[in-house]
Amino acid sequence: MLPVAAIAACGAPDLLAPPPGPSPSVRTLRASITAEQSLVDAYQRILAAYPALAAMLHPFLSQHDEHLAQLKGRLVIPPHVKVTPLPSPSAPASPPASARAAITMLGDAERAAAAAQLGRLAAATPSLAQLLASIAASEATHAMALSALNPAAG
Amino acid sequence: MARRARGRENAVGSAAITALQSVLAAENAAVYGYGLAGAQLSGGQFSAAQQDWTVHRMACAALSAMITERGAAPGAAAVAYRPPFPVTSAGAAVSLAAMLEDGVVRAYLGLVALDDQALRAFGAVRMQAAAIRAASWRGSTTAFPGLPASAL
Repeated sequence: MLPVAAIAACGAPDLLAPPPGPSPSVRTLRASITAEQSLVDAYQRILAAYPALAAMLHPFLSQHDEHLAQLKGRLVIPPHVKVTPLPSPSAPASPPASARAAITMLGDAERAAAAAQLGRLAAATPSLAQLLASIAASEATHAMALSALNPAAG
Repeated sequence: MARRARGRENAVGSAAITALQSVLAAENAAVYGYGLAGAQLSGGQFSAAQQDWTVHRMACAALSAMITERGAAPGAAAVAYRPPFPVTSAGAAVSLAAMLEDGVVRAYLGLVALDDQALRAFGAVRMQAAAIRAASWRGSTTAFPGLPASAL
């Protein structure tokens, strides 16, 4: 049992205040999850339009699935914190006109995703920052590998 | 109060110096290793090894300057580094180059855990470049460059 003075020093909870929002690290994590999910969606849309690319693109897609699983595994939201649900994926754009254009589009999306991860480092805890930097490096290698692919040969 | 603030600053500075020294050590090992690898390579692979060797040499100079700026002495390169396997063929040379880059990626990832935002960003950008070199030597990509399995 704490003396009353100690309880007062801790600051009594304001019962009328709205529940606290998510911490910066939780917001960062949720932004990364949304970004990874939209990359996975982009791969799936392109694979639906160009099934012949499956063998070429599968390694990248399965690495994104691993990224997503790691990020989601770190997302623990305390029950009293109110968060809005993650945005649902944006309406699917029509697929690019050729397999070559589809690969170029994925390469651009990987590069943009890697750059966006770097923008989230400052708000992350050291351990989350390392995960995000590692995912960004993986995405940078995907962009490099995609630019070397020749869909005609596949 | 002021003394405690300075103590915290020193602790932050020494964590940065330790992490920078690890990166310098990995870069020095890469400079030596690319010399070994280059001797077994020809054509485009030789040129790639030569280019990467130059990148690592320049990185050593830059890191040494960063460590000196922070008031510490940059660690000296070893006279020789023992490769993890004999490098007597082009195949072994390519595997060594990929392994050296993996080591460099891991070292830069150490900078990303620091509180210093500039070093965090620097480490993240440099590890991307090293991960790209590792993937192009290896011919395949990985999901979590630089992260040990124990961190996942």
